[in-house]
Amino acid sequence: MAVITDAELARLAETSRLKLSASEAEAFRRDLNELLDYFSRINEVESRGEELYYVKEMTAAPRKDEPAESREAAALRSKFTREKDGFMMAPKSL
Amino acid sequence: MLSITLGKLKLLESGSLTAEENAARLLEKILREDMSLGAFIETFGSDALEEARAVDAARRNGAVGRMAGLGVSIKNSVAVAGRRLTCGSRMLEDYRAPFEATAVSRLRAAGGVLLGSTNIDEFCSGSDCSRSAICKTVNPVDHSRVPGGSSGGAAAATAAGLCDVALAEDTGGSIRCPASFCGVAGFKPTYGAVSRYGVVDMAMSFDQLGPIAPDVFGCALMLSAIAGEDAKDVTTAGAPAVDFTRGLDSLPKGIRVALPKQFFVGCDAGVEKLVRKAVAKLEAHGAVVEEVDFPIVSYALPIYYLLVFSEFASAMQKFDGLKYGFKANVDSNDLIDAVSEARRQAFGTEAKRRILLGTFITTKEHREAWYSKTLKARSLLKAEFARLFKEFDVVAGPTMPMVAWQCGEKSQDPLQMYLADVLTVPANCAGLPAGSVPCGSVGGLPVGVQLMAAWGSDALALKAMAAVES
Repeated sequence: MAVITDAELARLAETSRLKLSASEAEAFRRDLNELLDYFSRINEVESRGEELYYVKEMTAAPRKDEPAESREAAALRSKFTREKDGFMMAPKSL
Repeated sequence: MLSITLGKLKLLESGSLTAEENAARLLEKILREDMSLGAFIETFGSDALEEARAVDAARRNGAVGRMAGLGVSIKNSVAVAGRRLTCGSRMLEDYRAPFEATAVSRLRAAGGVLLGSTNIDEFCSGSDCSRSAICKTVNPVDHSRVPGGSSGGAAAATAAGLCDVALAEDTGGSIRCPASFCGVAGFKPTYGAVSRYGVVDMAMSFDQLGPIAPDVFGCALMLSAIAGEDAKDVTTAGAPAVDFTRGLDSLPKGIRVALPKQFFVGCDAGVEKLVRKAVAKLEAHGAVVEEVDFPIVSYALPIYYLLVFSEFASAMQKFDGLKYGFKANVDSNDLIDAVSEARRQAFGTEAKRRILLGTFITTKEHREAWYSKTLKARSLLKAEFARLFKEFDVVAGPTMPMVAWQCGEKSQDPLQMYLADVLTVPANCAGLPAGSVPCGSVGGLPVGVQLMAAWGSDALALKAMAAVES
């Protein structure tokens, strides 16, 4: 069955963008192995079906191609850290 | 006997209680009682009173909505413009919603008076409301017990009479579990029946808004106000806007009710006894009840959780501590380092656990064995439900296999917490309407019976609930 090693957990944490302390990592590794072990019951189900992402088929027709005011743009912009002349400023990252 | 909600509506309609008086009384009760209950994250005080006065003025002019003057609470994963939208998380602790959810606008349009927002498990990840980073909610029936979750605040507020009706959200039982534990009615509509615009997603293929109310009439009334198509949410395409209160007390004669025997495996004996008694009430209404074997339903829990982990991990990616919400004080020039540190600081343990699991399941090496396999099992479960509903009109069983547990009892054991959802998740996996109605108590703690119906048969599910309630 799925055995998540320390190395695999470290890779998962990095992919997930989560820093973990050594004790957290140990606890999560234990939890994840225990949970995946339980959920491996999924293998008992016949897998002849289609992959079902949504239980409802989306059949909406496209709306009319007419220009409209963008919704709540100013309110949304106000949520960002800093804004200047219509530009959003994020912390330096490179 | 008038239902509590109908009774309140009659008082409001007759003018013996104004919307302002009702809102003022409820706000005062919240102030008095919520210190020990912890159901509310924020109350809307003077704004609520102003809204109530506007409803009273509209009534004097003769034009009010169906819910005119009822005090409504909103689960705190649903946007109320300008108000805190915490999702029970440090990540959004100080975030204010820049726009309003469609369901909230519709409640206002129906004359509902917004009293405040209610507590939830962090990003709806829990079944007992213990995982909120904002406050702790307890069960109004017994303060040493949990209210259920994730909409624990909504159910506790309704049961304690701190609001008339509550807007809640159900991903895997988040409406029905707390309704069952607190002794109120709760209803999860068919997937796509209610717009999710303005709802912070936890698992987008499962999330659905719905009502919690003291009675089935209250649920039907609120659902009538919020259901129907919304151009801002594609899942609502073709969703009917109907009056669910019409004919609520007239269950069609001769409906066929299935009682899957798997629903009673591991169920508390006291709960089982009450649920069977409640189902017998349907027989008194002319229904034909039959115990059935429905083995696939035993796999609903792994199907649900494996897909929720995947969708949750994806939904949480937008929270990076850079753009909005939580800002970490990180001294780093490395972007990945800064984001990872912010997420470490702001997410709770269960959110992190789900993100890690979801990432694992969807990585390239494991996708086929886990994610793809589970998606296929989901289609099988949906097909089996469709087959069951060819023979039966309603599927009944307990809402929860137990009564509300002690505060802290399951907080450290994720698997035990997941297992509690075993009876509520099947409806979400297949997108079916399902509701919980109180059917008695064990040791003074409420028990709920769950009634599910076929896709789109929300009205029938509500009628079956009303028949059990009567």
